[in-house]
Amino acid sequence: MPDPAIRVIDVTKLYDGRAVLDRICLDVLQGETLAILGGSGSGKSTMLRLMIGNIPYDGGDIVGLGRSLASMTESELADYRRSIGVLFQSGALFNSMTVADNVALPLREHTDLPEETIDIMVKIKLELVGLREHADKMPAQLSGGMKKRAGLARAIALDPKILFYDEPSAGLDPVTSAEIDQLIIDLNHKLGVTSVVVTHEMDSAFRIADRMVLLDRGKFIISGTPQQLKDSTDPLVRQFVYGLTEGPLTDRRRSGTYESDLLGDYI
Amino acid sequence: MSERTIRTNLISSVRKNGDALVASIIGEVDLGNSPVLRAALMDLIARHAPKKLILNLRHVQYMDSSAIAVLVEAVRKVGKPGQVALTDLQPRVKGLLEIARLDTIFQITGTEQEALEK
Repeated sequence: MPDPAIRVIDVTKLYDGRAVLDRICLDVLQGETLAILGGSGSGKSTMLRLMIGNIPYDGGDIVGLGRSLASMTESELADYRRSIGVLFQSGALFNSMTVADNVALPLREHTDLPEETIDIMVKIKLELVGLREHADKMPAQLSGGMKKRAGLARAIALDPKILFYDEPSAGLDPVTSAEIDQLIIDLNHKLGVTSVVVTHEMDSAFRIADRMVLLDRGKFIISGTPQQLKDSTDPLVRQFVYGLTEGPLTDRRRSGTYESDLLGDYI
Repeated sequence: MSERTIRTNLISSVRKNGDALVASIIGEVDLGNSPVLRAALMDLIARHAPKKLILNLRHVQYMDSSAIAVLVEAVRKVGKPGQVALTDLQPRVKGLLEIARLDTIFQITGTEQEALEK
């Protein structure tokens, strides 16, 4: 089995004293695509922000590329962030720059490469995501899918060892979503990039993932191959994987304080 | 004729074969040392003005896109597509070239000999 690129060891994250992630353990193996699944409020996006060193954790430890994130100095953390790439949900492009300049930005900021080399690298990255002919466009001129692809080109500008995707399919039509999935697969298979994909889109997750982890209300529910999740008899896993209308997730929403909220002191 | 570039250990050997220049690159080439490879390759091309440049990548386990960009610059410098051959590629390097669709820019062969004969 390959070494872990990232180890999440008993990690807890608190907001206002409440655990939004509760003693989570998971390994991301080198070269694999791991999908972190969960509904709204499951803690999956918080998990991503912790793994990229964006926010600190309150308990446990995260070891990224062999080093504890908590023990890193600011400059070591900056080095770590340079060795990973993140595709944010919105693409997070700078609207005042062309697509090409957006992709070139990390190269200009973090390397001493000559402009000739950067120019070729930008063209290669844009070709990888199918946007080379749109290099001179401004982000406002791009569709949602194109913005996401431009964001991906920027995320891979520095040839990261690990790529994090935050809801890569969100807001995309099925065809564009499948194209992005194929890009994730290609980058993973052909470049050996380790990928962590946070998503609630099951079709996409089943297309791309080698392994899956399901979180619910900040707790670890299950980890396994896509087939193992499909075969699970756990009612919560089955409801999430198959999108069932009946099950623990919907029961939870139905129960609670609705009646007392409506009727208050009248009952 | 055989010579060893004094500029970098990334190029382990250089020899002429007719109009072709054959160089072997070794090690991992990434953002940190690709400018060194760039300087050495551009210098070789300027000094020898080869009609064909054959780069043996057998001992290159990893090459990032900055290194690939340097190889593209070599094509620009030599003159036209197909006149820079890459031989003995490791799977990961080959994968990067494939995914970036650079197989029309470089001549990709299994061995140096194949590159010399084409």
